Amino acid sequence: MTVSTIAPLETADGDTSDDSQLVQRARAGDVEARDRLIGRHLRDVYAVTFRVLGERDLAEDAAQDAFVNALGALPRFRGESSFRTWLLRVAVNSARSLSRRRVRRREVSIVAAEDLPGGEENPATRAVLLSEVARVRDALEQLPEKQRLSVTLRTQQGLSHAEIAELIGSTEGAVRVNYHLGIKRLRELLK
Amino acid sequence: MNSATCERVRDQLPDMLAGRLTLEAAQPVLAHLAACAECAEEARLIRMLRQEAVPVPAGLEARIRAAAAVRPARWRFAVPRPALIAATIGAALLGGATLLRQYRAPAPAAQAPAPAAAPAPAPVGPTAAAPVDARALMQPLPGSVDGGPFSSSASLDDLSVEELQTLLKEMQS
Repeated sequence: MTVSTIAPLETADGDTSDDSQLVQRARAGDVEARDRLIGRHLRDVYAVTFRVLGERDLAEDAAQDAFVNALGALPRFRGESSFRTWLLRVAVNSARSLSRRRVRRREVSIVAAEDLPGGEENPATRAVLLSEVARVRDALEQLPEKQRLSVTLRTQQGLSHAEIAELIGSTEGAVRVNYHLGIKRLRELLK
Repeated sequence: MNSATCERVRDQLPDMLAGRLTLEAAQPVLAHLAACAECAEEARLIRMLRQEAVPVPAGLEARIRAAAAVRPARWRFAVPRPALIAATIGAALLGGATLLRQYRAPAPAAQAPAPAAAPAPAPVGPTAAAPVDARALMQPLPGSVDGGPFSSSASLDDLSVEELQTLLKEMQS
């Protein structure tokens, strides 16, 4: 697959400014640029912290730590990787740090209707969808962390194997293997 | 089904289902899915995973913006590290030079008496009450002909930065 066959990732706010421009402005103290970086990457950062921790409250704390630490360390960001990858690596580290300090409590997978995109289906269809999503969430919880992150970051955040490797501290090959093992395990669990 | 084709298609499924493949790249993937039940099953799983994506809790963005706003000092007034190091060295040298000037100044007429509780050390110079007589460090070393660069006859103002650094190291040791 060549790079040209992949369209660029859309941003949550439809903003066309480049991350690097926002980073430069945020570094100079531009509050609006800083807030736009937060808004643009919050979904991914929260998804990462939630996948590591499995609890909403802890994931929120870790997401906050990640943004505060990353924005505080902007002067040291040298642009060797994309800002997004660098930020998500900070998020993984924040979540792992929090995970080590607290005993993990498995969250009961209660999926609220408002958690799901859309909502135009009839109630029966929506109930089936809720049930399926709850099963998927439970199955994801049973995967080891690296498999869970490889699967969710690839399928939900759209990161490449190389990007995932960089942010979880692994190799591209290992991420590819973890991704396929995770998918295989999920298929078994969801049969 | 050809396993190499399956592997290539499965690698592309997340991008295709996210709408990130061009039509040209997506067509062979779609054709393969129509013929391969295993890959079609994996595509279905990935669609479910995308439905499962974790939503951001309401209010979290505002909370993070507020938290980021109360800790801007580290990056708003960021100083490049080399400049910080140079400033620290400069401040240390300036402080050291000022300290040495004070020790070289003539002793005041009325010296404060040494605390009675502390036994007075053997005087090593005119200001015996001082805990350390820095002037002793500036006396010529025994056997020295000219007293070296830090002889009492030399002015600190005449010393180079390197010489001041050497002097400070000697004082610290």
